[in-house]
Amino acid sequence: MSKQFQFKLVLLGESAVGKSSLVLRFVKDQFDDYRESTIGAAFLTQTVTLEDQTTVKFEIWDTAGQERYKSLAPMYYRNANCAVVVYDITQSTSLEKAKSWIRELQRQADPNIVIALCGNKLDLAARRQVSEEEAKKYAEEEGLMWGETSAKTGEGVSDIFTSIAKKLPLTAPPSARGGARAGPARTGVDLNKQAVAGQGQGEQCNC
Amino acid sequence: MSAALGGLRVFSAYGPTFFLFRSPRRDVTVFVFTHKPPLVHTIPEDYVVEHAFPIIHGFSISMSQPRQATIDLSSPPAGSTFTLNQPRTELTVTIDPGEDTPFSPITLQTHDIQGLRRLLDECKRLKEEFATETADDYGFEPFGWVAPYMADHALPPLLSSIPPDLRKLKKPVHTRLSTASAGMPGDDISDVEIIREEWMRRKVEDELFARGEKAGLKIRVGTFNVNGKFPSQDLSAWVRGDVARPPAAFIPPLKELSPLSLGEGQKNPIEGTLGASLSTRSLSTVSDATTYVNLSVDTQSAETAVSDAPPDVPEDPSDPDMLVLGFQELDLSTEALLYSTKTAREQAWCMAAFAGLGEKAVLYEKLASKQLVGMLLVIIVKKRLRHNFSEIRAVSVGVGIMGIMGNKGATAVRLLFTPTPSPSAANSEPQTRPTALTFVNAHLAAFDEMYEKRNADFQELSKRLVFEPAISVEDQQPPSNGSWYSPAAAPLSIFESDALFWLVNLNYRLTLPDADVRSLVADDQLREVNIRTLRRFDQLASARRTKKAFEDFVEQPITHLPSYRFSAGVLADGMGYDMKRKPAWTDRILHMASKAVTVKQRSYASHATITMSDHRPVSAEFDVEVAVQVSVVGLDEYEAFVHRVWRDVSAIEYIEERPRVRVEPTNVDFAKISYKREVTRTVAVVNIGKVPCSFRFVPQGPTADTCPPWLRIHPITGLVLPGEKVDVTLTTQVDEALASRLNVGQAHLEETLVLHTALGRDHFVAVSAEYERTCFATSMSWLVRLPGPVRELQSPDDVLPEDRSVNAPREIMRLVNWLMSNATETDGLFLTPGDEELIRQIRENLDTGGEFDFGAAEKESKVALAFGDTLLQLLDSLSEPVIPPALHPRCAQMTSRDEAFELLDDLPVVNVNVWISLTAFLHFLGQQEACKGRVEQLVAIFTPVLFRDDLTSPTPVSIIGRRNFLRYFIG
Repeated sequence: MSKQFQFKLVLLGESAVGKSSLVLRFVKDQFDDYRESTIGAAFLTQTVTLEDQTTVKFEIWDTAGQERYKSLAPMYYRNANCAVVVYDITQSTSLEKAKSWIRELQRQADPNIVIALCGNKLDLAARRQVSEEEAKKYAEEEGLMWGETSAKTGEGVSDIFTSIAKKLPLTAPPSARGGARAGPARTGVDLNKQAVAGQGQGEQCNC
Repeated sequence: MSAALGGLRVFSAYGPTFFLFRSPRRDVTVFVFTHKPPLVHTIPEDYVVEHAFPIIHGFSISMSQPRQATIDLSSPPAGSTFTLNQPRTELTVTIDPGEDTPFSPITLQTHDIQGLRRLLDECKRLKEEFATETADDYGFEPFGWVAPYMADHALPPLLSSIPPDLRKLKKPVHTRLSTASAGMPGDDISDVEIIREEWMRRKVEDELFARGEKAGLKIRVGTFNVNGKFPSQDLSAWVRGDVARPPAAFIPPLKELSPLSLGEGQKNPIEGTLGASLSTRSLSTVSDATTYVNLSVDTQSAETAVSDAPPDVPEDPSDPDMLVLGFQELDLSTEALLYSTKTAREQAWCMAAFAGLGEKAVLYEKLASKQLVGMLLVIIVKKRLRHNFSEIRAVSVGVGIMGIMGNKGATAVRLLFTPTPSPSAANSEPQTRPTALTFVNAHLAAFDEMYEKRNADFQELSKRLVFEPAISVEDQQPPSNGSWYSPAAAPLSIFESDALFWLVNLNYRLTLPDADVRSLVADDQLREVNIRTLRRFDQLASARRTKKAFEDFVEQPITHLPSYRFSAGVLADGMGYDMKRKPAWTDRILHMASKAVTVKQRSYASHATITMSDHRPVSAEFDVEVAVQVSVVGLDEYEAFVHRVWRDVSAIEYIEERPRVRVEPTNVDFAKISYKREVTRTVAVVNIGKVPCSFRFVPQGPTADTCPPWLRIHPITGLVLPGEKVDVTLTTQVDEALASRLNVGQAHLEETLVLHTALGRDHFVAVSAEYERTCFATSMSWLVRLPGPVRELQSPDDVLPEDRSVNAPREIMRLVNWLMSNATETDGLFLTPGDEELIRQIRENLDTGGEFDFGAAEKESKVALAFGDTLLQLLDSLSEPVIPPALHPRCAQMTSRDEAFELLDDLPVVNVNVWISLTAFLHFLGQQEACKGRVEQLVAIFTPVLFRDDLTSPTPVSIIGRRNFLRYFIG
């Protein structure tokens, strides 16, 4: 039976860089052209299966990017195992904002947190303001993972989450990480689990 | 939900009926139904889901056949009909849901061999089909749709026959939820269960109980510590109230224990009923733990009694339907503790109670009684309502010597009251909901210093007073469908009632010095204000305030004199109270009720004319309103309603759909908020998803509060169905405690509320407000450092340094000056409450520094009264009273005017200035025509304001002493 791991992931970044779109693409493989600004924090899960059949379940908190709610961000990134800090490649200011999030994470979050810097809106590369080199150089200096994505076309989206999954310490006991959300409390109705785990028993019909 | 399913095949059998359902996801589940015979013949027959088993790997179904019987499977009986005499073979079907499920295998009996074979074949085939598909083909969670039908969802808690624990009902829902904060959702699944149960309860209350027909039940409750005496006086004042009665009906006081003669050749109505009840007792009181009163025996005797009663006794609407009397210290003899008590005293007191009912006695009979040593609880009901009471249970618990003896403790009776349906519903079966009423008669530890022991006794009794299941003589069968009105087979706590009454000799005392209590109760001029003063020093009030005992109970404020301890001759003071015992309200009546009933208290009094004991009896009248019918169509619809809504909200955690809501607006600006002014805003939570959504507001962090102290959220948890909307109201309310914090802080208030949707996202609601400072709820030492009106203070740091402060708060001085120039002729100044709106205007003027301008109304007394009230409120709101508590003991000891003036040297100069100005004004006022003879009243009113009590102190300073001190200045 393959191993299962569960990690808490938080998305941070300036308002309107496409955090929610990125998650929607990753979790449901969908894209909305017009998305309302996130006022709050959304919780979603998605499972990534690695080549060795290990599965990594991400518990994703997609946070509000607006400055007004910045004081609440620590509530969501505390106990996070990984963070995806998103900027918009067509807005150089958004990279500055991303850098400030990264500084905050390095200062305040779990010291072992895995941070990925993600340049979104690759489909708008024609209006690029942030060069690959610039972002990549910064990421290397800070020891971060880096990638560019387009939530609209899907390009690079699963790659960035898969690379994070590979980089996470897959030695910890499954689902024992802090902040992990309790699974369905009543095992009795977790029929999915039975379906996976249960092997057909011998026939008992005696008629 | 079932509309989404394709019915696959139906197997009809005798006994259980099996259905196989396949969902659009292709997973298949076996449903086992039982046939439910209708309770009411007008309702069509019904099939109830008993079990649901998803066909998964672990699932198995098998059939077996008892050895002793044989059956020829090849030739089923023609026409499939059986006659009674024909031997029928029971086949046993065993369904094992699988090892990984929490459900146990079940076995069922059936005769339908053909049907069963087809079922087994089909199950076998489906299981093979399931085995060939991998789990992934099922997508998110297969069989999610079955969950609401599975075992533990079969019966919503609301359909339980037992009312929920009243203590639990009084706790707000959010306090029962898991610990959660932003980003830490807690246990959503269990929270959803709690939230939806509460939602259901409200829904049922709002939509069914509120619309249903109501019936009233008048209950008169009394408590009397009889100090071991036999009845020797007329008890009518206590059992009937002080009603005017025609002289002909007057019953002379009992002189001795003897069967009563009611005169006029009337048959003694008591003997028959008492006899019946007593014979019942002898049947059932073998064990002291539980009494079951046999209804059938009594009903017969009641009918006899009714037919014997003279028909011309009129019933008044004011007559109680039910009389509940608690006696304590029935028997003070030592033997009473050791041997089971005789019934002689019980009989004597019951007779005296009936005698007290006068000519009405024939309308009543004794329903139940329970005695433990000296404690006796008697329930008397109107004969014509006799059949409305059922399932009577009784219990007694001793907490006296060694924690078990019956010199202290309680006896309790629980019964169900089922109102008679209205004539319009008479042609159908009774469709009424019984109301569980519980009465506790308790006697707690005596003596002033035993306060903690009394609290412990209450907690002990709350735990140990448990009614064991009633064992009926008739061995009646409970309705087989497990319906909610079937007699409960479980032990019941006294709190598992719709309404709970305690009629008790609690022995809680007054903490004031003895001389204070006596002189306060003796002064009949100031009775009202003195009783109010005394209430603040009542140990029971303190126990309730600190939640040590009787938390969430209701007691109507006492207006009568202390009921203990009376004496005669030289041992008594002028009021008749024993010189050796501080008078106290030892005898109390409290209650607690669920929303299924409405309890209105009509009176609360002690009865001074009944002087045979060292206590005076205390009584209270209640109007209890209960639902006659849970809805216009009755119980079946109620059950159907509960089941339907339950199923609607049950699916949530098993389905792929996540709850989605829209919250609007996400920014709430209260603009200006101020002391004692409520501002309300609404936030709509709209369900834009496909499943019901439970929500709760959570704190930002594990140590934070859910909302800032200046805001109230209602409801703080809730449930919203798809397409529906719930309005959450946000209210700012600045009370004294909050104002004193906000006054010295920043005026701009800003916070983000976090609304968590179970299994969904967190929504933020930004709230902001601008606090307008007030001179109320601050300290005088801060007021004198204000550079101008308090409202003009930009920042709390802008106050003047101490050496530049003014000599007295200008707000207090402005009020005193205005009163001096405008109100000295006002009748009732300080004694009559002022108009709220005028008080608000005056407060506003004080805060802004604006001129008092009441135009033409300026000279009206209502303006003056409002000014007077504002002064009292301002003084009362100060964070420290004009005379600091540390000085109260010395003030109370002053014996002359000079001493009193000298003591002022120990006060801060600001306090002295205020004290002198105020007392000078009051002195002047006392000499005016309008206030002649009212100095004592002014003293009584200003003392608790100028010398506000420290209620946490166990030894309060003499009130009389403090009044004397004030009198030195204004008298």
